[in-house]
Formats: sequence, C-alpha cells, structure tokens
Amino acid sequence: MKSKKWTSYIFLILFASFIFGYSLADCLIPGREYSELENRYLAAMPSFTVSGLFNNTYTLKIEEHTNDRFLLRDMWITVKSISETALLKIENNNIVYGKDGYMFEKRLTYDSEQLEKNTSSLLSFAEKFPGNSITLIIVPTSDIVLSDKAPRGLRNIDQVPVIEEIYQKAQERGIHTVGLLEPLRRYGHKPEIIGVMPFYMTDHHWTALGAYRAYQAYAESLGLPSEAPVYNHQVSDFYGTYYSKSKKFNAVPDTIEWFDIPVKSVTINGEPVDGLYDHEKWGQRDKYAAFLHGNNGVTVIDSTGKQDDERSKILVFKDSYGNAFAPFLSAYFDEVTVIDLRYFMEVEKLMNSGDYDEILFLYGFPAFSSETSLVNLRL
Amino acid sequence: MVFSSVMFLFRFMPAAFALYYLTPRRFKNAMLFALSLVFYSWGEVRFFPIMLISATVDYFVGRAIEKKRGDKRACKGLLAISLAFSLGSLLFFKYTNFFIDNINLLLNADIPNIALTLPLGISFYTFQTMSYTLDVYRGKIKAEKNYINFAAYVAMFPQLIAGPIVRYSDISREMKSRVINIRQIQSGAMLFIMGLGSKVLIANNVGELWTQVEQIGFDNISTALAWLSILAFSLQIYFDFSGYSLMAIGLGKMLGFDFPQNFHYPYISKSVTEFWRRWHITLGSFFREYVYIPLGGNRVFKPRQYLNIFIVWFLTGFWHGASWNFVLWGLYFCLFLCIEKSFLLKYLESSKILSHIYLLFIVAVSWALFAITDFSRLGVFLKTMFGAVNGDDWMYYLRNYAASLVLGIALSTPLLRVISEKLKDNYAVKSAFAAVVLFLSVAYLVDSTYNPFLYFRF
Repeated sequence: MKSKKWTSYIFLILFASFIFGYSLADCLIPGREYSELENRYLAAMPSFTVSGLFNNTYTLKIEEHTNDRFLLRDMWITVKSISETALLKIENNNIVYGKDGYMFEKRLTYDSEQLEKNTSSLLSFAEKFPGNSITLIIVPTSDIVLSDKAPRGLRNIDQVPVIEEIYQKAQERGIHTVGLLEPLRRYGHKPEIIGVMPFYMTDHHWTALGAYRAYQAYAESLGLPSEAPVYNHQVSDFYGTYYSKSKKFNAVPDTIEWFDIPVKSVTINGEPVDGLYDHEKWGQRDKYAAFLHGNNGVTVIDSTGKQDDERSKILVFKDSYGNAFAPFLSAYFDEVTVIDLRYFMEVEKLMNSGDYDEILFLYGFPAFSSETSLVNLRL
Repeated sequence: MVFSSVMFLFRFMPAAFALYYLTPRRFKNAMLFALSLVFYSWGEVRFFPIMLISATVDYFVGRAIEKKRGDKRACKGLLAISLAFSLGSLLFFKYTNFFIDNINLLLNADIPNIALTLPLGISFYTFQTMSYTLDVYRGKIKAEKNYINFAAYVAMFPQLIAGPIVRYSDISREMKSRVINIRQIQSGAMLFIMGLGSKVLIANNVGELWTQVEQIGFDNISTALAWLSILAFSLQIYFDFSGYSLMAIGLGKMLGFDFPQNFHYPYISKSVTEFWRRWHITLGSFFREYVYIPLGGNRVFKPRQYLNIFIVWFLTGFWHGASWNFVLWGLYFCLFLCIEKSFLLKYLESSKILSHIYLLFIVAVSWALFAITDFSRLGVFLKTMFGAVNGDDWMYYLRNYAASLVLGIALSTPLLRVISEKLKDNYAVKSAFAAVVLFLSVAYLVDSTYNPFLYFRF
C-alpha cells in the first residue's frame, strides 16, 4: 500500500477538497435574498420552534433554505438547463418549449372543484345585483390559443369546452360572455412581427395587443367604438415567468409593447400615482408589473371628458391579465375602477356606493380555476 | 435526510466524515452511532426512540440466549420475545390501518383508522435486528457484548433508510476492528457518486414521465404511452433503488465496511428465477435464509415445496407495502417462479433472445401491479396496455424522454463495466467520468427543489 504514489489518489483529493471547500465557502459566504433569474425571494432561515421540529417542518425548511441560498445557484441552474438540452428535453420544471421560441406551461389537470366554487361565487354575485349589466371573460392560455406552436402530442387540458360550460351557466343567469379564442387567434396567424402576437413567448400573460384584441371583442359585444390606440412604445429584453421557471439558458427574450393612453388621473388604494404604467419597472426584471403598477386592491382610472353627455363608469374584477387590458377601457369610460379580489374584500360597500354602467369579470383560465379570493363575491 | 440532497452532500457528509475520521479508533463506533442518530432524527425526530428500543431489546435478548445456551426452552422463549417485538412494531406501525380497513370491508364495520406515521426505515432495521437474534439463536454468530457496537450496527446511517439489509454476520468482524485506508475511501467515494448519478440523473429524469402519465389519468392515454410510461417506471425504480444501495455501499466503504451487493444487472436476466437472484439480493437472501429454508425449502415433498414458495412470495410482496396490490405483485412472481421451477427454466436458459423478451415483458407488467395501488385504476391501466387505444400523446413523451430512456436502458446493462475493462480501468478516465457525474448531479439537485411560488407576487 505504501508503495503507491499520491497520484493514484488525485480523485479522492479533488473530491474531498471540493466537498469540504465548497461546503465551507457556502457556509461562510452569505446568500442572496432575492433571485433575479427566478424572479422570487429565496427561502430564509426558519426560526426554531419545538412544534416545527417535531412535525419535521423545521428541518425541511432548513433544507429549502440551504438549497435556495446555495453558492453559485444560478450557475448550477444553467448547468442543468444545458444538460437537459443535451438530453434533447423539450421541457424543464413544467415549462414546455414550443416552436419559434414559445414556452408553454404544462397543464395536465386543473382544479375542477375550485372552478365550480368560483363559478357559483360569480353567479351569486349576479343574483345579488340583478339590475347591472355584467360581462364575463375568461382568457384561454397561450398553449390553447397558439396550439400550432405547441409540440405535437402535448396533452394539456382543453380549456375551450370548460370555458364554454361556464359561459353557458353565466348566460342562463343573464351574464354576457365574450369568447376570446377566435379574436386572439386571428392575431396568432399573422406573420411574426414583434408586437403582433397575442401572448409573450417567455411569460404566461398576454401582450398589450392580445389584450387590445380582447377589448375590441368586448367593445363590439357592447356596441361601443374601439379605435386602435396610436402611440405605442417598445421595451426589449423581457424575460417572463415561463423563463423564470424553466431557466432555459438560450431563451429568446420578448419585446413588450405598451400604449400611451392619455388619462386624467390614476389612484391606487386612494393614493394618486403617475399614469397607467410604472415606468421604473420597464428597466427591471419583472416588466409586466409595469402595467397598471402591478396587482393592487383598488385602482381607479379617471379620464373625464371622453364623452359629451353622461359620465360613464365601469367596474372590473380581474387577475393580472386585467392589468394590460384596463388601460384600453379608459379610452371609452370616464371612470374605470379595477378590483383585484386578492387584495380587496369590501365588495358590498363598493357596490352600494358606486353606480356602474358596466361590470366586467376578466380572468385568465389558470386564476379562474385556482384562485380562492373569488369567494369575496359572496355577500 | 436523503443522500441525494444538497443538505447531505454539503452539510452532513463533510461534517460527519471529518468527525468520524478524527475520532480515535476506540470511539469510532460511538461516533458512528451518534452521527447516525443525528442523520435519522433530521428526517423524523419522533421515532428514533423506537429504533433504540428495538436495538436494546435485541441486544439483551442476544446476550441472554448466549448465557442460557444449554436451556433450549429458555432460548426459544427469548427468541420469541425478540421476534414478537420486532415483528410486532413492524406490524403495528406499517399494517394496523391496513388490517382495520380490511376488517371494515369484510364485516361492514366502521372502525376508525389510527393516526400513524411509519417510522423511517423500520422495514429495514427490524429485519436487521431479527437476523441478528436468529443468527445468535442458531449459534451462527456470537452475541455482541458491547452495546455501542451493536447499536451502531442497527442505526448505521448508510443503510438505515433504504437498505441493503446488512446482516450482523456480514460486518461483525469490521464492527470490532476495521481498517480504513485511503484506497477504500476512494473507491467508496466513486461508488457513492455512481449511486448518486443513478438516482439523480437517471431515476429522477425518467420518473417524471410516469408521474405525468399518472396525472393525465390512465383512461386518457394511448396504448403506446402506457407502455412508454411503464418502461420509464421500470427504469426509475431500478435506478432509484440500486442507486440508493450503491450510495449506501459507497458510504459504507468510506467508513470502513463492506456491505453486500444488492443489485446485479437484474434486467439482463433470462428468467424470473434469475431476476430475483439479481434484484434486491439482500431481501431475497433474507427470506431464503429465515423463511424458506426453515420451512423445509427444497428438501420436502413437492406440494409442500410450492407452499413454501407461496409463503415466501406472499411475505415478500406484503413487505413492500401495506396494500393488496403488493401481495398480488409477490404472488404474480410466485406463479412464474413455480412455472419455471416445474419445467420452463431449462428452456429459458438455453434460449438466447426469447428468454430476455419473456423476462422483460413479465417484469414490465409486474411494475404496473407494483406502481398502481388502486385496483380499479390498475384495471384501467392494464386494459390500455393490452388494448389498442390510439392517440398521438406518446409522440410528445417519446420526443422529450427518448435520450434519457436510451441512456437508462444502456446503463442497466453491463455496458459501462465492459468499457471500463476495455480501458483497463484507466484511472484518469474513470476519475473524469465520476467528476462529471458529480458535477451534473449537484446541478440537478440544486434546481430540482425550486418550488414554483411565482404567482404570489403577480
């Protein structure tokens, strides 16, 4: 044994140095709190509790923390992404890579129970306020609208019949509905010019133009005018939520387009803010959060002077899809009140104080089948 | 704690091995015992006392049997106490609710289930302690005098939670005096990395396919996808289980122990008989040694032999989980083993290709019985497998998983070993390969735990 040279143990020496050295460095170098790449806060060190220890959540949280704050985490994530590509994988962390740089979320199931609950919350709201003109719009996700860009054989749940069923129930209670599949698809088949596609490649949201198409369809159904807004701006290098999940090393970034629509004032939860967009966000990672300053409880857009006669008011209940949509409403309505039920619960008070000409429910299919906050509509 | 985690690789492992190597030889077993308790408690702090009690009972029973060697009846009584305790705790924790459910079903009763969590590794360590007491009783080994040595054996962290089932006789010598040399540590580290790669790079990768098919629902898939998914599950369970065993063997080597081999290329077998000599070897030999042979084994008249085989495979199936499908799975193998024993085996062994097809087909179907606990869902799956359900869903999955599946299939043959022999065990190549596997495994571990909590900010 002694006769063997140290060179025959180089592997062990390197292995031990790597494990010991890296562990030590990882313990000593403080980790980040926020990951730009993943667009989320990383798990913090849990505080010790006896009950946490005994139900095993304490140690689990430590493991999560250790993983999240692991030294050079982004480098390791990129290594995995490259390796997956080398293995010819067309998905990572539940995000599927389609044609032309499009990413889609894999949705093999949906929560039909929650969907049922949300539908009935909506119907009970309509019953409670029978005199109002209410419209429901459910936005199908990009994998449905742009199904020709999804890989063949991807068995995502077909949202179309599900939405159709909800629409049917809504119509029976006198709620208007607007189907979006066709209006959005009309865009999808146009040549690939930036800003023409209704959905982002790397994000689950629709583009401003997708939202505008939906607005057109909505306006048409109400018999309102819908001229195309004129001033548009572009912000490049948008890496959205699908990118944050898949972390595809060679993803093609999106270009965000937004429209300058003149308004008189915008308030969020009673506080005035500067315009429809949070321009600071264009320069940051989470660019979609610029639309309507992100998700907030109550946003009121005042654009008085649009109409000659009476002041027209619309109330919108929405998820984040509504943030790109609401600006277009201000082209016609004098006052647009936008409610995010996740952050606003006083629906009854709101309904009693305001006199709205139109009420719109605008939700993406994912939120409408998973959100628990629609229960706030039950009064 | 699982081996395939950042926590183990970059926290527990360096700390544990540093402490272990620095501890003077006399106290190494005590240190190993202490480290194992930390390892065990990390995942499940409430249940380590049960393991300790189990070890303590068998320690004292072992010593008492040795003292009363001449008194057959006393020895039998002592053995009964130990077995009652080991089997009792296993039955209680693992099978109580299963029995309650079945009684409810049979008698139309409504006895409520009791809230029980299965203590980590109980199926493995109870088998280890039982094998010890049985071996002492049969005079095959001497009872361990030192409590710490014995407790360190029972609790030893490498094989504690997923085997291999190490018998005391396998490592009793090493428990007392073992050489820990650098060559052994190095080959242990390499084995560990290969096991880690099996689990993280192959099992996890192809396992996703099966999980997704489960999500789609068995009544929504095509026949082609059903077969593709069962192929994926076959590879997943092999690389997961053998990977764990390999990691345990590697860690054992790094600690100075030689654990028995647990898997030996099972998928290249030509018969079910051969398959079970290559799959989970330590479990098979446990049942052979402590159930089949004591029942009379092969040295009884034919019908009794088949009864013995039936008993062994009923128990083997049941050991895998408290659900009827595991029993069915065991008896399914029993059926083929009996057929092979009566006439088929000699034909299989002389056949070159057909026998492999036969074996792989039987094993693939067996994994369906194993993976699907609910009988009505199992029925739907088998119907899809053996029906003709059309669909293009398989195209997506084949495209996404083809390379991983091919890699898995290639690595379940001795291909790597052959290459390594061709290269005359070239140290540089082997080292570079292990380094790449480790590097990639860490990358997959770091990203796998990313939980998509993205919506909370949107």
